[in-house]
Amino acid sequence: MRLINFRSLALSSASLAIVVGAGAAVNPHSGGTLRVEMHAASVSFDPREWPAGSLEEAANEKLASLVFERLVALDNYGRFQPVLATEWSHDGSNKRWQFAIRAGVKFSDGSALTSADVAAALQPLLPGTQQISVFGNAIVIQSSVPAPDLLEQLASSRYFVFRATAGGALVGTGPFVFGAAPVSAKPEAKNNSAPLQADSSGDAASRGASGHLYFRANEEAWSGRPFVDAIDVTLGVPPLRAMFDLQLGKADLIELAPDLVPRAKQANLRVWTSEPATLYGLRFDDAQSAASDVRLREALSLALDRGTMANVLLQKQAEPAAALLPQWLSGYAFLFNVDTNLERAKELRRQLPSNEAGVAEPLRLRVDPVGDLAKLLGERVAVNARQAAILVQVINRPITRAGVAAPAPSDPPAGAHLFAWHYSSLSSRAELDFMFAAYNLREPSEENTTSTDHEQLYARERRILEEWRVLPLITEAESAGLGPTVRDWMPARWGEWHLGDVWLELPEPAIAAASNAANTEAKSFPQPRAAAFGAKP
Amino acid sequence: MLSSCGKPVSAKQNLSPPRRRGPTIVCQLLGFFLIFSLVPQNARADSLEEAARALARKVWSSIHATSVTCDFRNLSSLRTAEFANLSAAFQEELQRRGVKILPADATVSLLVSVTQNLTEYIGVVQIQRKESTETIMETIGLVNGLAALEPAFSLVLQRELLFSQDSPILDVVLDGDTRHAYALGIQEISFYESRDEHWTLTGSERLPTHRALERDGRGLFALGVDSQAVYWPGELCRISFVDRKEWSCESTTDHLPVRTVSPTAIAGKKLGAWISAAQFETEGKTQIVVTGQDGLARLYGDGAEPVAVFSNWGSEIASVYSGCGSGWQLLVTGKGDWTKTDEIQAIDIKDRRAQSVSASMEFPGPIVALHTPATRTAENPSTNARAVAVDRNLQTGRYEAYQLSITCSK
Repeated sequence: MRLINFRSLALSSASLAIVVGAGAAVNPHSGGTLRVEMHAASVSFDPREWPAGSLEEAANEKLASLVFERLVALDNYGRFQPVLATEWSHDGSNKRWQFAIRAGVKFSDGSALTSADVAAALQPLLPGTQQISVFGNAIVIQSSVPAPDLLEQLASSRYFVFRATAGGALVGTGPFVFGAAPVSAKPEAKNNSAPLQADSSGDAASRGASGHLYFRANEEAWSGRPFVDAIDVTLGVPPLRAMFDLQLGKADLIELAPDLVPRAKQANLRVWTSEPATLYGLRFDDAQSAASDVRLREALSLALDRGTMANVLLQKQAEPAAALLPQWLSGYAFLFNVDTNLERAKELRRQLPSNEAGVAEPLRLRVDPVGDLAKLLGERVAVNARQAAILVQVINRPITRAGVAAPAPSDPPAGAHLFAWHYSSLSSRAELDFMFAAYNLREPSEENTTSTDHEQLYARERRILEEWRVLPLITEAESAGLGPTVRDWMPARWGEWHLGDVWLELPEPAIAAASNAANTEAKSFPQPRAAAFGAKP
Repeated sequence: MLSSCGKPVSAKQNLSPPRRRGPTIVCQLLGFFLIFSLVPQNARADSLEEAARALARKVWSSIHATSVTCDFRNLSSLRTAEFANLSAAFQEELQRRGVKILPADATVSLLVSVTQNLTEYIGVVQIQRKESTETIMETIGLVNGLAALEPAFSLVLQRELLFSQDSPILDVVLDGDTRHAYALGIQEISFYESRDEHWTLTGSERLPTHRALERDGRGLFALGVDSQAVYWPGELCRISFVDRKEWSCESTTDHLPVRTVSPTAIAGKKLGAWISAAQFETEGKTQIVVTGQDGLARLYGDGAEPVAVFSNWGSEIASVYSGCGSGWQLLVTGKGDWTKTDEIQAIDIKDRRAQSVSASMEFPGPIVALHTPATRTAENPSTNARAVAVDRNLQTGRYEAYQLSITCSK
């Protein structure tokens, strides 16, 4: 095994990253409750249950990162930073990786983090080709195939370290813990739903279905106590209402729907936008003969006006997509181009047999994601297709009261699906694998492919796109609206919030009160956050 | 990608080392240090250009043509100068192999793009022929933050070996005449004199200390006009030259003081158990950084609580003044334990953000002490740019005292 201790590199680079602060000469204040409003109606805190690529995973990940941590993190400068692992090494074949686990870290229930805990948490999340074993204070991940991008994987997505308590609740080591909202601390604005009084074990909160979650600062967090005392999360808030709440000072941080971003900017609200985080696209069901004709797929692709989708439907809050992976993740997405060519689309359409789907009868397009955007995109696809004389019937899935798309077993099979894919991995290879597996795009020869070679990844993606098995439509960024008192907002550019670093500029009396409260409860060593992994000035 | 990272733990904490170390690993470590530590920025430029040449060789093997047109575009965060050098290296390599670069009208045209993902710069060459386009990609470097946040200046650390001895050195004080030095040991003070540019041991004096010895020895020697004092953890020894008394030692519960760190700057701060401290001025305000026993360094401003935390430094720090950047910089040690070689690097702190502003200076053993000079005065600003470091040479086992100085290159 080659053990490389990158001390020099770490020193020269890591010293840049682990700091707190945004405005010059403004000291962070401790105290206050950060009020967050999110669209998701419910969240799951169990990473083992998160379906790859789902929109739900984005919300799950954001909130789970409050209470759980990963082994490593990638900062906005492209550097891996230690989190629960303090050092790592791998052999020359990239099959055997060793991680030293940070000592002195405690779970929120007071138990010490051990390498066995790490192994138990990560093993169910890792692919079957990777086995974890424990060696003292270290773990070894042995992969049957090279895993050169293991750090990228472990720094993202669902690879959180947690421990299941006897009661089944999951506890973490993160900057916050599930907690019960103190009665006096309940914000007056939160009269839309009964607050969830999650017990300290997080059992109730882990289900996260009652619309309200409360997280209190983890005083024992190894990386330092977060600045805010608590985070009060309201789930299931409609986008427009969230924006109003932000404007009225009833919320400090909201998920901002893309179509509301221009409006929020006009209203002089603070808006943050991530790199493209979600791909909307069409995929064809190979099992359905209706979608088997390559000429139909190509014709549909050429008929699509992605520019209008991005610039009109989404008011320039999205980008036309020609690739499966975004440029920031793959680095080669710029090589793909799709231009609208209606004449060529019509020509291809004319070549189709008269009994073909889309000609004699409509091609059934099922809109899989929930929400107005997906529905609008589906309708736009049908309009574009009609311009090339291709008939498309859009099928929206019925929505339950909880806002979840209901299964529709009685639906006739659809030849095409409009899907939304949320990028969750920082490994382009892993992301492509997840997507290919989810949509049955993998060739038999690609089983256990772990190459991170750019040319090979590009070739894999190009194969799918040149067969028009997937037609990318747009990529949508995530946006957030920030209240005027929110400071040191330093998220990762791919969308991870780092709320442990955020502090609130409280009115002077509130600072004093918070300070007094902190003093009475002060531990011997108050610490600010030690790790702002995405921090970038 | 071979990767690892520093250990955000106390510099001299005994880590449980990952197993299977061996001579090969030591060689690799040394090789790595040589590559990445000594001249990091030049190495980066060289590696980018070499990667561009490698990409050109790969392209050359595919083009099967004697002339090409070549266009370049930068889709990455590489700076203009770096990109220009990279482009030049690419073209030079092709030309070295007999390929003519034409302005137009070649049968093969190359579109060379430098792009990046989260961690890597990628060279993408689209080889366009009449009938087809071939695409070649190669990783040409790691992003690693250097391009994103490169300081507008760099500092050069220099060192001068003063003397070495077998017994531990906890502190070194150079007299104002720069010809005499005092080395504080675990129970004694040794006297050195510079003769013909060589430091010679001229004597030593054992102090009547009663404290129990510690493995992690620390101490401070204070040289006054008419008195001297030695601070060890839990004990203070003093001598006055006015009344010509002998050294007297007494136990104390005070924390070991830090030279050039004002007690008032520390007073009221919530410090916890700390090891080393450094005081400096930025934007007219006094700030201190304190390294804790938990392996973290904390930055304090006016308030009692830290305003920033740095997790990748060793436990020994000192402040020096260069006049560049924020004016004051920190010298920080590496994070290994006492079985490893160490390094010192200059860090600039601005707006509570720390940025590396010098190459690492390697030492043949762990740095066991890093102190500012005994005197810092406005009349002699050059003393502000100096510090004293003591390492324990792993090859010889001897303790070596170095004088460090810092110079700025804007």
